[in-house]
Amino acid sequence: MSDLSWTIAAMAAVTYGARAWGLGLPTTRPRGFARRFLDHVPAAVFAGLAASGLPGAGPVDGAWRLAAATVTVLVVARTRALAPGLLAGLMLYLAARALGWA
Amino acid sequence: MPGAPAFHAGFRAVLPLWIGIVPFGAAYAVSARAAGIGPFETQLMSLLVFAGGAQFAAVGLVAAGAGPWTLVSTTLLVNLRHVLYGVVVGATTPLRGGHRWLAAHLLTDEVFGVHIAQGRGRAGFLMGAGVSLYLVWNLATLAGSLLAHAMPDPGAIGLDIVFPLAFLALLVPLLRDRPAVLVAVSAALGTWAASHLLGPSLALTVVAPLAATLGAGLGRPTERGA
Repeated sequence: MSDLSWTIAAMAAVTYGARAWGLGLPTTRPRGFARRFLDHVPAAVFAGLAASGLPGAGPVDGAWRLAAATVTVLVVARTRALAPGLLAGLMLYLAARALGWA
Repeated sequence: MPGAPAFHAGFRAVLPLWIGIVPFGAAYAVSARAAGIGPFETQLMSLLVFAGGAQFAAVGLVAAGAGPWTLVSTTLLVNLRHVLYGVVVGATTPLRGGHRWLAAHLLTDEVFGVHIAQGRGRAGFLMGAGVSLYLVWNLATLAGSLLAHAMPDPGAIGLDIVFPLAFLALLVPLLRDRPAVLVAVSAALGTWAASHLLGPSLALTVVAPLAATLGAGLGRPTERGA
């Protein structure tokens, strides 16, 4: 194995360790403040991931990406399904790019 | 096999994300090959590390001539948020024996998101979602390695927007009450602002727990039956 292969194995070990550590932590179902904290983690993570990936390359591109995000939110709020909302936002943004608007 | 319907449901739940994952898996392989990483190591990273953000970071570091310790410590930093995912999944989903070991390999941003939004509490769903993503990520890596010269940059054709849109779509059903909305807004603004200083991954690692702590102080989100 090359030196890089060993480095990749070490990268895999720290990644696996981070995930396994979290999975191994709770021994009983958390209650009170800890339970409320864990209940709020998904919304915080999804919002953070969306916010860090959404800004575009400049104000015009950013505005179209924001428009696509708004369409996704509205469609998901109405249909309660991931795929239609994702596709609607994506189609709007790709259409704007194809027309040279974004 | 017990849990097979849940496994299939999890596998199918990730399918809409394949639109974004295929070009990014291929783009990872193309950039890895361009950075001088061999096809074996390119695929090995997708098979063993299985963390898109960390893999892209590693390619950039290899291209810049970074050493092994820099690669490993950056990977750890980029993937620290996975501790949080593990805690949430471990607290809400009963995982036993092999499932727990396998889940620790498959728990990416996307798998966590789809599982929490649609399959909370179902170990089979988590496995199905994880296997679906693992399969497509590795096949896309292989395709990218083989067709390195013909692959466009997904950012250049606009497909980089798939992931933020997917996470927004996963977020919407969780916004049932005022504390949940405040958590989401503060996490979004906080991550966006902190990204300029810390980079997106570390910003999320710092801000998401703070926003969840704020939410815990405000109250519990409306129960979703799991």
